[in-house]
Amino acid sequence: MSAKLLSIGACQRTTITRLTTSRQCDIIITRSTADRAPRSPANVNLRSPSFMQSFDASQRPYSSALPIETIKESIKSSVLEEAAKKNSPFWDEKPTPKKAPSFNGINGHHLHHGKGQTVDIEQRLSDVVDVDSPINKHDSLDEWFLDAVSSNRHHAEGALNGLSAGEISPRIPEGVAPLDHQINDPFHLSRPDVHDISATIGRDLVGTDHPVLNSAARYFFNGEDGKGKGKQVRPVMVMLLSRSMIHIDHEPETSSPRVTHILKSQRRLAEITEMIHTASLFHDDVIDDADTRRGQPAAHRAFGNKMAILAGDYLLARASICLARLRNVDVVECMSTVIEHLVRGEVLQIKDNRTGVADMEGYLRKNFYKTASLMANSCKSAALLRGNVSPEVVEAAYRYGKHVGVAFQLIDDALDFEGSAASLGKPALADLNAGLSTAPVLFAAESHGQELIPAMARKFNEHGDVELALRCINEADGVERTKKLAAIHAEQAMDAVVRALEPSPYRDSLVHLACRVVDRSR
Amino acid sequence: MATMTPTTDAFAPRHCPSRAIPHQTCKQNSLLQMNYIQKESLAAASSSNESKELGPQPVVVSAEAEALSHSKTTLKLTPSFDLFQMLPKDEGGYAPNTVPGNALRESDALKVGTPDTLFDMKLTDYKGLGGKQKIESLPDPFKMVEKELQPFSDSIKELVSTDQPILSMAAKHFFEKRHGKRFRPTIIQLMSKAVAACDPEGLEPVDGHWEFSGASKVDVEGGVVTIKNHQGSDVWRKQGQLGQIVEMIHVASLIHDDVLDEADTRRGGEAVHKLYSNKVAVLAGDYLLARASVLLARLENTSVVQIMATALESLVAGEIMQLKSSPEELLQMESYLRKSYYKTASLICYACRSVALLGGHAYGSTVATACEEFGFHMGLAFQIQDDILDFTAAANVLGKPALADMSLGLSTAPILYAAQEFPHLQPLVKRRFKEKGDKQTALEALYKSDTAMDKARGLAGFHAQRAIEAAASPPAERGQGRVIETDVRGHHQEEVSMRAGMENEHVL
Repeated sequence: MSAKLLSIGACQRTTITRLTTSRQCDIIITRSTADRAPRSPANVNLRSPSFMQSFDASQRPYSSALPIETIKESIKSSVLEEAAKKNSPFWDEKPTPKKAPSFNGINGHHLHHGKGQTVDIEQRLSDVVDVDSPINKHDSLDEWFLDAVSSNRHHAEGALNGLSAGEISPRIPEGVAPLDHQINDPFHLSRPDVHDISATIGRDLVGTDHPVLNSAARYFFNGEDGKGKGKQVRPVMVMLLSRSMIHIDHEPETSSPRVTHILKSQRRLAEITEMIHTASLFHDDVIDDADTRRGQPAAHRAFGNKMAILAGDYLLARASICLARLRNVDVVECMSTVIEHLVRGEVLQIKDNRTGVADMEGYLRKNFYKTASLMANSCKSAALLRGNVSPEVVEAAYRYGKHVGVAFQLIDDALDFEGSAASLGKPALADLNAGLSTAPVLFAAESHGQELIPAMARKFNEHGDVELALRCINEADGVERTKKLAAIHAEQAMDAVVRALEPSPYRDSLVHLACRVVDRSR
Repeated sequence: MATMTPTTDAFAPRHCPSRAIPHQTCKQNSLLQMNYIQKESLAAASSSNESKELGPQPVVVSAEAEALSHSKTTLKLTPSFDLFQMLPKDEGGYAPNTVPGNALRESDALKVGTPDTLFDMKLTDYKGLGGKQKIESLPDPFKMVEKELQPFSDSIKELVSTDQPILSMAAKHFFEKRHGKRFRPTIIQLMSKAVAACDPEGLEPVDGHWEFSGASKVDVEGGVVTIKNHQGSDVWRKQGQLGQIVEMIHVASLIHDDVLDEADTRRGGEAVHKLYSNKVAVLAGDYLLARASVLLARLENTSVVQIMATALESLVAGEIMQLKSSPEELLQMESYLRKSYYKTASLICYACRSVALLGGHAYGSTVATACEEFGFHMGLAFQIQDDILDFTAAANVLGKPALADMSLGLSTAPILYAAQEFPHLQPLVKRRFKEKGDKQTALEALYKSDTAMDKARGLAGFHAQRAIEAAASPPAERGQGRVIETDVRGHHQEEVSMRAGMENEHVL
């Protein structure tokens, strides 16, 4: 083997000498005798001996003749392996401070830089562009309405419209027509706008000529009879909101929803929203190593990790392109913030997985990043695209999306426990078994912290931990309080649209959609 | 031999009348100054002949989809290889038909004003490339923007740092360890200076919207960016940020390339370990992309957002092309160049055009087109030289060829030329050097060949020369010659020094 290599080496040496005049020869000879003068990389004299030194790759650990390989190696060796260690300090950083006073809104990034020194990106960027544009308005991200469901105010008055004792469902604000399947059922009403959204995305927006990428990117859009499509709550919200902003008196008997005019760009926004959501699913499944998604094998099971990542990247790129084509700078910024939030949420989740510290607000913030931010910002973008709307309407749209999103995730958490109560022994309790401490657990930890927190920290992986958690949750009304909190957020969402928008079946359907989110059973 | 070698026949369809772009399709767009590329006609032409021979262009969305997803105010981007020449004439290359995207390429307006010191500059006049002139007679591009790029490392680290230690670790390690010459940001800095020296042409708001022309509304004294008011202006800062964004996108794509497949994970002993690597790789890459897109949005030019998003799409397409090329495609020089375009040149050339837009030049202006052309050829020359070095420099430095590309089953320019000379290499290329001894055989043939390496160098030189021509093409204003010289020198040094094995510094 080595003999063979040698012969090749010899062969190539002579060839090169023959090929490239004396210069290369020069190099080969000089190399051995090159002195080791210090070298400034910016000013390289090609003929100087110091330049020759640059051939000595071993002198500088991060350079070699193969840049890309080097780069890959440098990540792998320095970061990934470090992070891969189970008890690496990178995962066990102190949890997000309970109340971060410097955290100024969702778009204010107070960054911990190195050893605790903070750098305000916003500050730096404000030199360049006006970051005080309406999209960066202060957001009361820290207001989670947790007090309203605190344990010592058992079944007490709710934060806003009041919760009737025992009954956990949000109260419909006054002036909103009761749910009527013909008039203001959200899914029924948005059907004409939304029913073909997957098809359009698959056909118009993500179609490439490359067969593998094509099938991967369309994986979630081309499902037959709704399989793999999901509930499409996000497009429904965007479309209903767009419609409700038309301000027309809509007579359901005489004119169908199709007749009314919404902007093409709003419909495109709904599609982009779904694309971003799907892209995040691709990447999440690789990260979480999930097996199934929406009733079919997860994309990375079907195509492999690499393809799933690339397909996700591709969807994101396509989404950005489509977004840019809407020609609205504010909307582009709004929606690109979402992408950052999705990543943040995912990181917080991994960190929570490892630290297992009871921090309700941190948990809710994580949920905001993972779920609500996309809803909030796409609702806001729908309003921005409409143009000529007051800042209050934009703000209301944002709050609607945000609170619905938070409620949506809370109910998801609660349902994980309900399923098990109904049919014990079934593999519900998925979150608990995965070691995740969701809202019910965190509520229970407030009163049963001493027992529960050690179990949370070890991710419920010891015998009896799950039972312990269930008992604590039961005693502390964890599931109930989670639902209550969700109901309060739903009421906040309803309040936002009812105050800001003119009465219309579409507005009412938004209210009912918020209600539906809380009142669902799956 | 005839069937396997990409002869001129293989590219004949390009000369066919069917490829000519029907100009009447421009009608709906003719109101706007932007250049609309008639993708429909291009796609139609390419699907008829080309796709069978060259395989699909992965980045190109089907013609109908493109048509549907456009409004009259949106740009239509065409891959640069449909705008500019990819291969020298004697190898079957051709200058593409003039389409709106490159219509002004050979405009006479280009050569006005003061004498251009770079006029008719030939790379081959320089030492090491056949001539006698010293490279040192040109200014050093890296030195020229050294000061501007000084804060670059710091600020990019700040930009990517988060309150999430994992991510900032990943990102920081990445940028800190790369003590390179910052090839891309350097080009962008130089480009922004060069662009500032050019007068924007025909810049008027379309339908009252500045954005529709693709140009940023520049807010500087006098309303036009000049060399004097450029430094320190908003425009200048935004262009600098673009450099950071480009570096972030580039790094993100590298990180994502690193994601391991299921199979790799299972085969390896430390499955869990690698799985964590995947998690961090996905997240760190996503984070950089997310950050990049937020920063991009803050440049407040949706055309630039669209162009750069397209560059990201191209990177994905390139990676997929690399993974899934058909055996025939592996043998084709043009397919190799396309892959190089998607993986390397697209980011550079789109960034170059974006610099022009940020500087207040309309999308279809001479300057913007020249910028893209420069980036296109520069990127390709860079990649080809890189591939050559995979064989030569590595062999010199390490005593053995590193052959990263061959290990991935990819054939780059030198091997492709060798395969043209020695047909027995062609099956090896087609099966991605999978069988034992394939690599050795290919290598021996390559070193036996008298011409393969020289041809590959010639191809790099061709693109280098083209880049120089593009850089020298915008109207020469006073003081601009210097900047352009730098561009050229950047190129030139690239050429010569990379040959000598310095490319690591350029890439990193």
